[in-house]
Amino acid sequence: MKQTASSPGRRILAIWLTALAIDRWQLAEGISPAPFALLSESAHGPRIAAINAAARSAGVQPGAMLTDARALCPDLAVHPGDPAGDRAFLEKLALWAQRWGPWSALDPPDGLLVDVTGVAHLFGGERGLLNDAAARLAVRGLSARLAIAPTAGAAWALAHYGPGRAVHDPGDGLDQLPVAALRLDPATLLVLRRLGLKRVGDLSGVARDALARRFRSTRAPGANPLIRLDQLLGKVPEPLLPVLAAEMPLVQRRLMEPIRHRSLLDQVLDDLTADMARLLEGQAKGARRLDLALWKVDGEVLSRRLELAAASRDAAHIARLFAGKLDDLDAGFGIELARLSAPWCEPLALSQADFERAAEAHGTALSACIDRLNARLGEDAIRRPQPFASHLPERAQRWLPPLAPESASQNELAFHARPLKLLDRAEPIAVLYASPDGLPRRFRWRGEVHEISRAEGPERIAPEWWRERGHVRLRDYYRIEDGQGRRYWIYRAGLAGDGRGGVPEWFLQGLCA
Amino acid sequence: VPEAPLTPERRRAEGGALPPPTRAPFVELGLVSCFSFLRGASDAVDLATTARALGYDALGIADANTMAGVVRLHGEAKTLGLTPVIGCRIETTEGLAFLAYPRSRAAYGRLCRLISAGRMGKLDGEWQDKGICDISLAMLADHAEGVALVLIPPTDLAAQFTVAVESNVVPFVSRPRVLPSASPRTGSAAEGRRREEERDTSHEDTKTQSDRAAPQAFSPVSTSPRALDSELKAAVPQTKPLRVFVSSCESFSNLLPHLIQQLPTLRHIAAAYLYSGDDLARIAELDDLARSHGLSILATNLPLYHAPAAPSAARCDDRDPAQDHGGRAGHLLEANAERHLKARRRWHGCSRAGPTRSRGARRWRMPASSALMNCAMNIPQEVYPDGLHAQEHLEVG
Repeated sequence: MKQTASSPGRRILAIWLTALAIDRWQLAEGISPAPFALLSESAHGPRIAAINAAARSAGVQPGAMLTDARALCPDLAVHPGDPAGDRAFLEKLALWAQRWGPWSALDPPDGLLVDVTGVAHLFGGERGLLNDAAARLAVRGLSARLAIAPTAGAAWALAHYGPGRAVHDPGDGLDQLPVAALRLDPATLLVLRRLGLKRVGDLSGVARDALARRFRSTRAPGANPLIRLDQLLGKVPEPLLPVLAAEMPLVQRRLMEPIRHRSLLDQVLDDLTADMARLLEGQAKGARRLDLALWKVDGEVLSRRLELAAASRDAAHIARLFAGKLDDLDAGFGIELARLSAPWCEPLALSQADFERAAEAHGTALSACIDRLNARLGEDAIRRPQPFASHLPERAQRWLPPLAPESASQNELAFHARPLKLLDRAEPIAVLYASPDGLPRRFRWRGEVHEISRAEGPERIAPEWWRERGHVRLRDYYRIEDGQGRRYWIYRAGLAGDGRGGVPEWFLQGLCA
Repeated sequence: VPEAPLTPERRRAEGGALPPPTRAPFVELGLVSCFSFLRGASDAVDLATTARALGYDALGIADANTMAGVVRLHGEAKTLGLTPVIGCRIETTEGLAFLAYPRSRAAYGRLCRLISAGRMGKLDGEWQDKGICDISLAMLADHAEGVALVLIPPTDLAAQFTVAVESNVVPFVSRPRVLPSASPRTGSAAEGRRREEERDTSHEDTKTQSDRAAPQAFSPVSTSPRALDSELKAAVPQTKPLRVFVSSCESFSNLLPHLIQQLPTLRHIAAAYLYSGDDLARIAELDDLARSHGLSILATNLPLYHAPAAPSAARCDDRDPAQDHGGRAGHLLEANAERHLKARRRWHGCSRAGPTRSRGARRWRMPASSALMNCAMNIPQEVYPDGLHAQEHLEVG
């Protein structure tokens, strides 16, 4: 990317997949001679997104409403389109297209740009390269138009509006192309059409400062024809974002003999984790998620997933965690292939081991401890509370993953007096009280009656009116102690006669020490 | 299309045919009107009307560091036959809060002068920013003559406060100085100037201690509270020739002797039942504290709004939670909406702290209110005593 677009010798190959969505559909479902269309949802109902040749010959137009298309072609078969799948397919294709150049970029929704500077001789010249690309795309079942030009803008214009397989040299003119070849927005194209500017050459005929004044308020390239024209001619650089392949670390072992015993599987697992650790170390990464897949002789696949609290590539640690998950494994007639992959990795710098052997045995890292507890207790069993600004006790904290970064601001806990243990869900209790808004005297909880010997309160907490509905009642919290010295935290939801329900109910929400 | 006015018409209380209210046993002081922006939520009309409906015969306003809400409350209260008790809430830079009710025309002038000083200049003498009022405890002490003060205790009684207190270090004076036997805390400007001169003199006399002699300098000198207490008790009755201040970090209970010593008009501690769980214990603790220092507690609900039922208006006492922080205003708001005007029956129903509180409020009200009528009445006069011009008369005190 050091070269600028204006430097001589830059060559860009533009690939326009003219019917990407339909080609993908036909690759997956097979070619059918009947009229067929893919749909997209719009605010006014389904709309035709892509059509096959039969539908086109029947008069269906892309962009039309489905009902209009049905009127033209009653036997039109339709299916919802898959723009996300198209995009993923295009990304894979961009990586594959790097066979013709060192880097490639996406040109959504249905195009690719490949930098072919200085590589054409490998294919017998640029004509040969175009022929090779067209042939290989045709083999994959994709219809495409190709062009090679000094700039991305020119290559795109020729691929879309030029003759097929055009090779453009810096001196050649592009004046005869329509202004739509400048990659402009529909609104800008409409403006240019109303101005009578139909071809790229017409823009050169108009004084440049007049155009600059007309479009002075638009900075986006797609809305400003001057910027697009300069990009087409290579007068201003146009940065492109290349696609880089990110390979998932993966190690596997094919076994000579299917194994059926746990001890052998443990050995295989140790080997796999050691391989994975070496692989990750080479990439300076640590795994956060690991997938272990075991292929049995009969073709069935057993899979186990492991998530780590912090990035790690400690082979012994990973093997130990996996070992806890293999106890219920049914090997059947034996396992013949074991594969370990790390779909989620994070950068983890190399660290120097201690010189002393003893220094390494100083204990367990917190992340390793959390991993072991997680493996033993289950996912999400370990969480960390984070204070949250709310007066309601159950909303006064949020739960975060154990090693999530703490919030930037810390302050004192603002609540008044809270019990050590808070129940997940407040439990209804039956309370005997002297007066409706007085202190409670006796309560029944989980079938047991407790006499209240001491009580303190109330602490009144109003509902959060900006969040909750209007009929939510306030709470009066009491700290109470029963005859055995056990302390509880109970509340009465509502007041008698507050107009938000009948007799107030009582709940037990917390247990003091 | 006729355009609606940008601001709604001002509402006024309608009290023409009302009989005068009967004498109520309780007076609500510390009322915050909507002139305390983002804190008080109710207009004076609503406050006065609600108070009248609840059976009050007097109402004490206390907007935070401002007298701006006084005019409206005075007008509405007079319309309804209520007695307005005019004052304000002074919040000092040390974090302390007082209800201040002047007892005389001159004291009213001093209180307004104090607020003006805090709004015009910072403590270091720079021009003050807009909307901020910096009042230090020393400034309050200078202007507190004739102003009845009620101390509002902090939410957390164990909180530490850093205040300037008189040092127990007595600078050596080479020649005896004859000083007037007046109280060291007369609030007039002349007195303040004279005190400044004394400080300057003391600087000259005791060069070695010049760093700790500045009244508001936070010097690292730490003296034990016990020693300070004994020193103060010994020093208070005498006329103290030199006043040397040091900053001291104290808890509320240890701070109280210093406050009483610096503010002779401080007679009460406000006690409120705010449904925070341990109100009874807190009120009892405040009562003990007040009794042990010769003060008494004073019942007030410190109301922020006139009724609990208007939730959105009533609880936006700090910020609007729906707009602020994406609906996560949380602790910026009060936990409940209990700080509203309450009927006497509800007051007694929820307070078990004994009869001292309401008695204090009742007995205390009368001199304050009678004095405050005058300052509103005598502005349009043509002739002033002593041949003073109208502006000169206003500036007296």
